Amino acid sequence: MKLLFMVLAAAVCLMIVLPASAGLPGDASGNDHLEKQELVSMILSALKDSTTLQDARDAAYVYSNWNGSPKKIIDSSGKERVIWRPFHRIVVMNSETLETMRSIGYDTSTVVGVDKYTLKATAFFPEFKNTPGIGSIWAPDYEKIVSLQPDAVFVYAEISRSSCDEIEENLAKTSPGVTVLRFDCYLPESYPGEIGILGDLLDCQEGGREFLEFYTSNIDTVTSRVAAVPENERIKVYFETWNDYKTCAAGSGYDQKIRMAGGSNIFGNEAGEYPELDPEAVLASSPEAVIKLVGSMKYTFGGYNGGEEELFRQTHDALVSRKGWKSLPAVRDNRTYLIHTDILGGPHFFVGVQYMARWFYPDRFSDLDPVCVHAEYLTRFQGLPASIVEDEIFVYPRLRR
Amino acid sequence: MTLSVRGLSFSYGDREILHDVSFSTAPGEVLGIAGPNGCGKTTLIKCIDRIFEPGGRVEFGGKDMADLSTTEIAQLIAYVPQALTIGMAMSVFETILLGRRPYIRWSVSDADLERVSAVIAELAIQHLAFRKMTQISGGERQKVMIARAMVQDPSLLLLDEPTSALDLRHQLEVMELVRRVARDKEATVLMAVHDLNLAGRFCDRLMIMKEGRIVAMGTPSELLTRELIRDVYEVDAVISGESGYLQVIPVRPVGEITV
Amino acid sequence: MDQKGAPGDLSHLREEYHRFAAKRYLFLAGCGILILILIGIATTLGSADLTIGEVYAAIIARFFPSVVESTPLASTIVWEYRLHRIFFAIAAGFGLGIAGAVMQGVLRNPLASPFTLGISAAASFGASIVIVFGIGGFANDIAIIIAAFVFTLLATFGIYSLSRVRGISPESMILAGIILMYLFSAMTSFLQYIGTVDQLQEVVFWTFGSLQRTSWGKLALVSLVVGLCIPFIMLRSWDLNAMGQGDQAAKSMGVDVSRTRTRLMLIASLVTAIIICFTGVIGFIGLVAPHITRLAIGGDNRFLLPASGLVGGALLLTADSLARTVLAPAIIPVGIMTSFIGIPFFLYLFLRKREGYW
Repeated sequence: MKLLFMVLAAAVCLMIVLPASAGLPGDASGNDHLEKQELVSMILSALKDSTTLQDARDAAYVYSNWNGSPKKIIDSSGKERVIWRPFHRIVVMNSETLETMRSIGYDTSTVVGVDKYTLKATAFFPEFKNTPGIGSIWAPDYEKIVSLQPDAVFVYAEISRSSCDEIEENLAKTSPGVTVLRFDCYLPESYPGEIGILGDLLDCQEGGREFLEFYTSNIDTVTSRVAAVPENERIKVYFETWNDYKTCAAGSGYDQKIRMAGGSNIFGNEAGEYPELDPEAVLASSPEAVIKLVGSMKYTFGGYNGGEEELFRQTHDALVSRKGWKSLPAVRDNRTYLIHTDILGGPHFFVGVQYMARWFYPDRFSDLDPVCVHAEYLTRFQGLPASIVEDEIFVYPRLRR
Repeated sequence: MTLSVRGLSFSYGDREILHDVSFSTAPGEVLGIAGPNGCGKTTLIKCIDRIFEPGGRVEFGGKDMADLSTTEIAQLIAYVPQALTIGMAMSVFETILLGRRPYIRWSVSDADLERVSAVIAELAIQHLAFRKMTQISGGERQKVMIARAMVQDPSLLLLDEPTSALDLRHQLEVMELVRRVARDKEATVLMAVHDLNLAGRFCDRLMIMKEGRIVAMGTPSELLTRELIRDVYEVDAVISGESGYLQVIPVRPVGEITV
Repeated sequence: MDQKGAPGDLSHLREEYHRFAAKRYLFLAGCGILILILIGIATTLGSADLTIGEVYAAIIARFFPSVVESTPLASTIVWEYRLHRIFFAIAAGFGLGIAGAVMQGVLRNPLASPFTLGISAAASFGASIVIVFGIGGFANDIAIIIAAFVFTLLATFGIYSLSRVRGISPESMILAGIILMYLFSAMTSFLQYIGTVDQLQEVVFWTFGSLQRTSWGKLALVSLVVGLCIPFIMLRSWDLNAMGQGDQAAKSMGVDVSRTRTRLMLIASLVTAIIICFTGVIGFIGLVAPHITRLAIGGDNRFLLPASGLVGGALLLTADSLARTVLAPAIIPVGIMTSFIGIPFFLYLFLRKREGYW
């Protein structure tokens, strides 16, 4: 019994220690800088089998790529993170970060664990179909995470902060060798910065720059032209989420994106993020454009996971035939649209924003082709076929090109 | 009408409470049921009113009680429970009016109101008529319960220890009333009593029970003897007739006492 | 003892009873008038900023188009958005109020209500199953309604079956109800746990209760069911009164206690089910309306039952009107509003000098 206990204790210790020993590999002097001499010793030890080949490889990597010093970055939580060696095994708990890693050209074969929502998105993340699932940020499977022996775990920074704080605390207690990194990767204000930091973190600086340029130009195309529209001429928009009569207000990302596209969110000043509205208020507000979000709850169809156009049509018809709606400017002028959350809620929300810009100001944006932009994003940055854009439905009515 | 009970028995779970009880009453008679705690007086009364379903046969006015509906039984038999503290949101008048339920479909007729008023007058509780039940004393509540039973126009009145909550004066008033009801309406009254003195004074006949069986039946003067008291209650007592009424004065318990 | 009181005294008592009863009829009439006034006010409330004149013009124009004119907008808002919601609030409040009064009478317990007996918890569970496992698409809404209704009745059946084992007494029914409440709450929590974040939110919203999705059709259905159940309940008012005196006393007055108890519980649950399957859990009405009524006119169920219904209707209409005006144009779920109204009331009861009105 005693022997068993000791073996168990030793195994637990090994598991904790194994992921990454703090300190640079081969840093015999402990001065947090890898000197040439230390590297040479490391390589010789590896050749003599008195240290692992992996450690030597890491030491060589650190010496040549990081100038012998540990990498220090500040993630979106504002904390400084110190990376002692390159990542070989990472767990990514939010699909937005995973998507951005693809965008900057990172080799995602190091991903050993993903969350359940990534697993569900088989059309968008086909390569992770068989990757082990670690639950979700709101119900994390700690045992699974630890058993995967990751070097790093990625969670949100601002979103679901308390759940992510808890994950960070628990991992710090049980697996201090695991680096926790926090990125949101879809908030318009922080995303550009995060692209750069991620590029730096994962040694994909070139890829990061390329993607950042693509992202920024697509956003700027819209915002710069929209800036020319005076405030009182902005289109009055009623935005509805997948819950009927629930709109988005100033605290939410959707409100931000509407304004980015130059729209004026009629109910943007209400309290809370997603207030529920009195139906007659919508009627009385005479919106010039109506946008309804689909892709979840009652309206789970469309987007990357596929769906019949018929369902879009039914939803659209039901929307415009609500009592009294035929007198709304938005319905009279055929400016009622459905948009899927896949292109408005995540890291490539700029596609959705471009659609909205075209809907709001068709004259100013007649040359903008969000379908093309979407296809370019998929092929250039996500490794997915362009045919998805034609085969699947992301907006309704589809854009006439 | 005559009440005839034959071979009545009742068990609660596997405990036998009443065993082979048989007796009959004459119309207009006041029959007291006495006995030590747990002898089955209350259960017997509830069985006769079919609140419990007993084995054996209970006939009233020639009809087998088992054949009658609850409403028909309620028109014949009224039951006065020991005073409880439920149903307090009603006024006195409304509570008494409840006794007319066996005769009311929906609306309250003038006949119902007259009956209730008459009974209120008989019991001299007019001054309480529209007070809430919470605003009257325990003794007055007991009177209200009796009034409720009386408006049922019963031919058989069952009372469960009607004087237990009453003070001296109310005890006498209630017992006089009960005897009057029996006489004036030719109703039979069956009364479970604790107090042997009241029983002796107001009952025409007495039935002594012990452990679910009838051990003696007869007039109070026949039954209330030293020997019987000792047998049934295991108490040494003195019987006195000084006051003009039969009095049982307990002296000491018989047999071993553990102090 | 001489018979006290001359015949003159008796007619005095009779007259006083008539006055006594008249007060209660007056209260009922008063409640009815109050509801009419509340309807009149509620119709003019809403975020669409219609003037009182426009609102009433829209109402009258529907019947007498040649006499008054109305804009299509006003007409649509009043007839397609406000009126059926207002009437639904009254019908639902009436049903919940009466159901609560029946439950309290049948179980002789002032805390009995559809909520405490696990009936609402069962409805929540039914709705949660559909939300989490999703039939998907537009059939979802109907499925939620049906599931909530079915599970409510299942809970009632559960209470009945469980209490049959121990005897159909108030105590056994209350205990059975509490068991079911915990059971269904636990299962609902489990569903919330395995669901997605969006589904969790929707389940929670369903339990808040809301009159957002009413329609004329739903109003007709609820009114029909409640309307059919009311005569059945009212005819048993005397039995309820008698049962208030205790099971044994009631039996001696001719009431078939267990049968009456079972039937009344079933009817009260049916009324509750048909309402909350459309609205979600609206608490406190079934608890508070009977208490308020009892404080005003006492416990005679002939008056208490309909009056509880009217008070319930008035309460729910008031709560809903507040819910859609306080933060206009945003809406607070009405169940939250009724809780806000209910809590001060109970505080008042708690602090009041107890004279055992119950």
